Amino acid sequence: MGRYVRRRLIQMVPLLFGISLLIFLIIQAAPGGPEAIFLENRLFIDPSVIDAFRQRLGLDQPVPVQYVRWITAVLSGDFGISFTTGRPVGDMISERLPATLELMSVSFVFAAVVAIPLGVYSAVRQYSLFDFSATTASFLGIAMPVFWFALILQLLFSVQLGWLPTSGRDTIGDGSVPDQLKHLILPAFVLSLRHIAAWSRYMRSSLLDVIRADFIRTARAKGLRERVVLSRHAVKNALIPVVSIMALDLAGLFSGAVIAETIFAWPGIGRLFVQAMFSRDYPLLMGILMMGSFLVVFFNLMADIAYGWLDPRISYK
Amino acid sequence: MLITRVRLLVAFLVVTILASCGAAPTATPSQPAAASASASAGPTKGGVLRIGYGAEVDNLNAFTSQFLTDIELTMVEGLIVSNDKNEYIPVLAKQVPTVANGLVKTRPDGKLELTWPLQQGVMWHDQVHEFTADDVCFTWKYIVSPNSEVYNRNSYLPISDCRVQDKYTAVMVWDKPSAIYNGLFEAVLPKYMLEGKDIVKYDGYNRSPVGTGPFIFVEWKSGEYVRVKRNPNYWRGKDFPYVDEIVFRFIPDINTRLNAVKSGEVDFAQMTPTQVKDVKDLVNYNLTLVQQNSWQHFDMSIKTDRGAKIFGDKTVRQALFMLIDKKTIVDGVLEGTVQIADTVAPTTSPYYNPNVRKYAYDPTAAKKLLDDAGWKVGADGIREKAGEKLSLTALLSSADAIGKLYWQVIQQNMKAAGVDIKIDTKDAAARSQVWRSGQWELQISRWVLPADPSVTGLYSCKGSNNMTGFCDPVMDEQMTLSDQELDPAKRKAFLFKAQELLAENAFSLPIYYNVNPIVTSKKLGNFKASGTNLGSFWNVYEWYLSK
Amino acid sequence: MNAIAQRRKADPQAASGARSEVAISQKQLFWRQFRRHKLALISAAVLLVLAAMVILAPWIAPYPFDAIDPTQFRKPPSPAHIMGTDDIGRDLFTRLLYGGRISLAIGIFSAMVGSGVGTLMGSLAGYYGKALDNLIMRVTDVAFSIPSLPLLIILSAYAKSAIPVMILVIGLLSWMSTARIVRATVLSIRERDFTLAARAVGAPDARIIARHILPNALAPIIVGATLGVGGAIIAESSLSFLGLGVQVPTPSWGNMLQDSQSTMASRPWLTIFPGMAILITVLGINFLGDGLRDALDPTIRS
Repeated sequence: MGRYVRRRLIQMVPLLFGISLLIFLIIQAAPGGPEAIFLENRLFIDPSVIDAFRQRLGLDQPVPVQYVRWITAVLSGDFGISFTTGRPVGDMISERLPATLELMSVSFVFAAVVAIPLGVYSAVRQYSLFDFSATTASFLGIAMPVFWFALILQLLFSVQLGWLPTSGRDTIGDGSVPDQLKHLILPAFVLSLRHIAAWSRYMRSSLLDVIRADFIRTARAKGLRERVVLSRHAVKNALIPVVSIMALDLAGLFSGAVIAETIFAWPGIGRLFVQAMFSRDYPLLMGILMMGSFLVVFFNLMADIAYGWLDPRISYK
Repeated sequence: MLITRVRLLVAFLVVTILASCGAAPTATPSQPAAASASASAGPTKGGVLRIGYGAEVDNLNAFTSQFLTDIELTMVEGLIVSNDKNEYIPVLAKQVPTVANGLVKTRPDGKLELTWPLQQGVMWHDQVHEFTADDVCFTWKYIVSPNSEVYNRNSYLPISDCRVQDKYTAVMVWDKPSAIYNGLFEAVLPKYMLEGKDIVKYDGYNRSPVGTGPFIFVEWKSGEYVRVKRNPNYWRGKDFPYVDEIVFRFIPDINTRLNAVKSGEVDFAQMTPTQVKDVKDLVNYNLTLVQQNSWQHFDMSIKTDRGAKIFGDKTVRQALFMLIDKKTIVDGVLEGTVQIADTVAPTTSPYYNPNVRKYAYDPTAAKKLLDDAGWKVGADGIREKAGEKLSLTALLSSADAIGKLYWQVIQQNMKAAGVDIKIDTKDAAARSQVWRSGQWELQISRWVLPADPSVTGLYSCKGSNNMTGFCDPVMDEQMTLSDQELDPAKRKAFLFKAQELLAENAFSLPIYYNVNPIVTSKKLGNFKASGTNLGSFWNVYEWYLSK
Repeated sequence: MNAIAQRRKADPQAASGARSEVAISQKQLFWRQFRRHKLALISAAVLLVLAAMVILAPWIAPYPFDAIDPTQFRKPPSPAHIMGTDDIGRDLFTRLLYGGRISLAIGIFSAMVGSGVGTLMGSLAGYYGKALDNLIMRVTDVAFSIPSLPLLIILSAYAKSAIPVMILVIGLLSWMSTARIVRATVLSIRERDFTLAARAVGAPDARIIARHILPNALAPIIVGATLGVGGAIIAESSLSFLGLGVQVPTPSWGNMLQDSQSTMASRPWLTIFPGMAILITVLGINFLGDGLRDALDPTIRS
């Protein structure tokens, strides 16, 4: 296992290089540039101003030159300056991370706590009323467009009932924990739904597979109690594919979720990314995407290691 | 209070003088939809004004920001500002120079000398440095420098010099007469802080501006809000501003903003015309439909070969104009919240020419014109001429919700007349790039004017923002003359003729004047909405929140 | 028909009464299992009706889909327009039918692309292991890192119609999860006795993968594919939220929903109908997939 891990870590380097080049080219290929916002808002803009702007940002250079400049700066830890705000990209990302992680991890944990037992009970009581209700409830979570459901919840809980705030992280002037929690409830709930749906279904289907397997029959034949059979043998094995999904979604913890963040005005990375894309803020985009791909690669490695631990039949030669 | 009253009187006199001297004229925008409950009570002090703002801005430098400068205007002041009556009123200047008050002099060498007398005893927010003529000339120097990235830099270029005559008097020299001299310097930069710095990159100012205004910067929480607090030593008097604090919350989604209003979380928010129906009957809020100095215009580009061939023919242009059903767009799509426009100047401007050629929706006449121009309906229902089909592509931004609606209406109307329209939707940045290059066929977008309706940059042959390629030297001459004419009567004649020619030439079709629906809490008093590009925060120092 | 069923057909007397001794065909096994999942049955029926309505749109729609009626802007449901009219006077029911064609097409084809590519990659990676596995997994990493938004913006700029682009992008961005699941399942199945047995007998790899491994991995593939169709329909609506979905004047449930958001409170019919259409469809697809999964999995048969 050790050699395998080392090999994978070494492979990460050229992998990330390749990804960065690919992403850089894709971003630059999008038509339009950062001066577009000028034209949308100020309108009467002096063309020489646009030229000076582009020149200062190095956009008059050919793309390969821009890439080389960027990658050499990154290797010395400098992710560049954002085109829109002029601030260091590292600062902009790191100041949004706490809010993003807060929202995503709360929704993640809530989803896990709900989904796994839901999936287990659904599998054990297949075709019962509980199974059907749980199935319906969890599917509702992924059958509704996020923005539609979010706005309906907002209309209900904020406008009609007045129980929860519509948006933001806290009420200005009141940064207390209860206030922050109130602001978290709607966005975290909305975001947890898709996870609950996916994870509980995979848990159910995976557990159903495992329950019928031979080794479970052996355990039962041995006379072990059902609960022991389930928890020690079945669930552990059934968790394998579910773990892979959860691990992949873990990387998403850092990417945020643009729709929920936009609707609830949550200062997260997802919204920052989409804004950066629409304003063609290349350094910021590269910074966010590289962080994302690093995490994806990293979490995939973690997931693979977890497989090895969970299923002794899998060995990495 | 007395000082304030005197200042207000002076301002009033200046305004009256201005009205006869070439400044933009008096105007009356739409009044608030319901009477303000606090109109009878006097201004109460205190309170926090919570504003539901739109997308987050990039920086807080009024000159280089790519966004509108509402937030800056609470903190930073300039020589002038435009008010709710489309007038330029002096702020840090004691008066706006005019020929009548002797502050505008023509020199023997033909150049113009403008003397700006400044307010005295105005302190910058650090309470240590005083605002003087040095700051004014420093600001000029920065703006005209080559890489200042000031969005309207070329308007300042005719100012060839700025002299500090004495501590409170700045003199500017204009190379040639210009009617728009009084619309510049809506902000002034602090020399003590910015001298020697690369202002474009200097975060110390761009993220936390320093000004002379009624509010002082407190914090900018990235992605969330900007907070400003009351300036206790504001030069207009200890009473001003009335409000303690203003918070600009960034709420990018228009639906969330609407819900924030309905749930009472904000006291002030900007809406879109299609939301007017939802907000006009709210119990605790007033709706102000701010008439803007802005109009939507239908354009064609002759910068492409195909465009030149098809749109080079005036008959075709006029026919296309007559296939646009302005009434359905205004009354149906926009539910009557905007007004039909037939010319580029707003109806509130004294330069508004009501007698230009109008293009009413008339499909029968349009079809005849197209037939006469040689475009006959083909077998598939689309007109053709010499092997070319009258199939045109319209450029649309994916962010333009209203544009999507009226373009589909136009598409239908044109289809009935044999003109095939394909709508090409691009995201905003891509659309801007294509538009700027002129490589498109049809588009509808808006222009926003300052208080002064000079459109030379848009329609003159070498206009820096002429994306269509249309050119009429006769019209050019009228516009150029109007830009340099300081006598308002003569200027009016030039602008009237220019508008006539624009409509007659059928270069661009104004469709409707834009409107900015602003929702304000009934507790907010003294809010006077302005439709100019400087926005509605021009008098934020006298806003108040009643209990 | 397999050997046992053939014998049964040949000798019906011997078959009757001895149910437990006689096997039934795969197909009957499937139906018996599927019928137990009530929700799946109902969904299948509902989806069939929906699909029929949507396919027959040109014949059952009361109005042409782009008929703008200036006198009927934003009207609530009435006898003339059973679901009301939209912002520019078009009949909502008609738009819903035509929009359904687009949304369903996007959903189905994206899922096909995603599942197909994912199954292929996952089974190759899981079965062969070592270098190929490593390569494919790294390709997966790269694919995960490719930003969908810029890709979509670029491809839309150069493509005539947004729809094939969307199908491609949504499909190519969903294959990775299927691949990972398939790979995980294949990895564990690979070591099971029947696989080892097949290898010992000398069966060719492709046959092993197709006949032995994939049928056992069918469950996660099907779950993935059905979640994929639903996910693609939802993805289409999310892209509409960002302004990148199906563009005017073509209707789709996603863009109809997005365009009506700002008037949700004052004109609820404009959001309720497209929203419910998406909800019912995606819910139904998921139930159906669930039922299919239960019915197809050979190890579940009870």
